[in-house]
Amino acid sequence: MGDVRKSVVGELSVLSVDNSSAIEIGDTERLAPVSRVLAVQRQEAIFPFGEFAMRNYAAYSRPVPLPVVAERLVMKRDLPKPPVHVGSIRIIAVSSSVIIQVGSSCELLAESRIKHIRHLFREPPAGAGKEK
Amino acid sequence: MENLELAVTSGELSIGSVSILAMSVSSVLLVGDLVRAHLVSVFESPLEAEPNGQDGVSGDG
Repeated sequence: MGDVRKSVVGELSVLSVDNSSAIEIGDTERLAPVSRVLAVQRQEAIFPFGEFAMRNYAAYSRPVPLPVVAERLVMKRDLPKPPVHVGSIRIIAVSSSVIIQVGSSCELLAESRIKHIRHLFREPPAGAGKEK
Repeated sequence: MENLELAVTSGELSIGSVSILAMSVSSVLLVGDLVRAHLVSVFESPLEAEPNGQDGVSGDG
């Protein structure tokens, strides 16, 4: 990573942080949050144990093409260890595999895989839509 | 492997105020230096709800 910076943050306010997200003040070498979500919406909320297995869905194993790194990046600064100053950061919500960092990093690798399933009845259930 | 040199003439970094309503999946907010970022997002969702227990995406499940 080389020179490190001093990070100064006046105020940081985050209301909601979801799966595998990172809030970092300061330098890091590498951050790699990984999030895998299986979201099932069902018209009738009956969920037998062990009904869903992530290995049955290609979304979690499908290979993602990686960038070809053909050069090595070297960073040089005139000022030794210059600081980072942030007055205030206000965030309401962050979702899966989000990185919020005040400082420097060599490598960030964020991965999020979400499979969303909806199950509805072909025919309305008996008694559905009838007023009592 | 070839070297790529990045020269920073003034390393000072200062930000007054940042306000964000929402950040979605695999997003980055970084105040500082970064060499490399690799962000991956895979999202599978049915175009419309399918009846009778189908998830609306062929080949899965």
